[in-house]
Amino acid sequence: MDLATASPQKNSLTLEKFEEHLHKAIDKPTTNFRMRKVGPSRQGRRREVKVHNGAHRATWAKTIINSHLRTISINVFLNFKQNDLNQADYGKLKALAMAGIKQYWSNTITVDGVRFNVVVNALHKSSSDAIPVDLKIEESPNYARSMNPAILGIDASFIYQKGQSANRIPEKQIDDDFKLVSAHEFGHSVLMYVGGITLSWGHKGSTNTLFQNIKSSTSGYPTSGKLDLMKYYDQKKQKEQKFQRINDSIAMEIDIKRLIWSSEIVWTV
Amino acid sequence: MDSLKNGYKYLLVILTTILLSACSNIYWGNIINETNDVITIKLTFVNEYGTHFLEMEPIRTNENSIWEYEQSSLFTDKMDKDLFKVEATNNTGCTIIFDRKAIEKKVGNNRQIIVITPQDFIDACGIKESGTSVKLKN
Repeated sequence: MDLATASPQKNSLTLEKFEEHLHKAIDKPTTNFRMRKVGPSRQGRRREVKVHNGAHRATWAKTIINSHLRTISINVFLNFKQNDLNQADYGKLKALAMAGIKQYWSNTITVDGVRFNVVVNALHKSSSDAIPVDLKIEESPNYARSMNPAILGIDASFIYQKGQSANRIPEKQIDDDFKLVSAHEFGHSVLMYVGGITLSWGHKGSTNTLFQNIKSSTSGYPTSGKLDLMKYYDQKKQKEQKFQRINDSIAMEIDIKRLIWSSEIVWTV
Repeated sequence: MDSLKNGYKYLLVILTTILLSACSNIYWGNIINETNDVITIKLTFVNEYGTHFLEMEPIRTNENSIWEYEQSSLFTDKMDKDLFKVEATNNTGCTIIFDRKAIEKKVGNNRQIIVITPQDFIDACGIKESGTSVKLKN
């Protein structure tokens, strides 16, 4: 396992128990290896090999758990590419994207009855082991969709809707949209790593996997309560209230657990 | 081998982009208050799921409120096709109702912006009038 224990356990919740409950909560096996039959070999016999299931092996995330303070700090690494943006725009978009990920992915989770405060920090890292992101600006008044296929090294695109100023949308609202969209698109990397295309492109069952259209079973915006950052809602059934997505969206507990499952864990007491 | 791999990669990018954008476009409808009053807005939408309402929070002078919608890029009129009625009420209780025809007229070339002006309330309720009054604009 890719786990590092910084100091010995002092309280009842151990790393092993934490892991066991975390894995169960997201429907993953408690062992990180499975046996797989391969072959036949040259000698004509099938062999069994140990195959890792990917737990705690994502290179773009690292989790530090303090079991005593009940805090979890998760660093996620994104490679924000400047491309043809000028330095000022690049700096602004990078800061907004990082702020959005922190805002929407920080939450609380409960593992084995212990409640943890989770803070997710997005960090820029210009190397291939970070999530590659093209920061872009849409200059026309047409809304351009951001995306993160999270496959085969294809870069994610986080698009800032600057052209909406022609529709007299204030800059603050465009900034807020970009923060939310960045947090959502980052989440596709988490869902893809843990659950593959169906979970990620299918927005946790709320859209058709390939065409991205909303399923008939998907509900409208709820009139109160939190919104799942990674799900779509059918605005034809119920429109969102003013800034509801901006104000009420949050990464659900299960998705934060999926993020922790993906990442290397450092356990401290 | 490398060129095949690159070709496959770009084909996937193109396919993904098409898939993500083919069906519909996202729009932001924007209501701007250019009156000197705080106004409240109620939108009525009619579609295959029935009639439903969106009551926006009060909009202060020179501020705006937005709603999001998706519709096929085949629609040349970008204003939300489900938007059936806009009701705007000012401090004095004067309410203006814009039906679809009036909405389209008001939107004009902007296509996504509805601007509520002082003239709308003057036309509807008279400049000195106070108290509840409702005028249908079309």
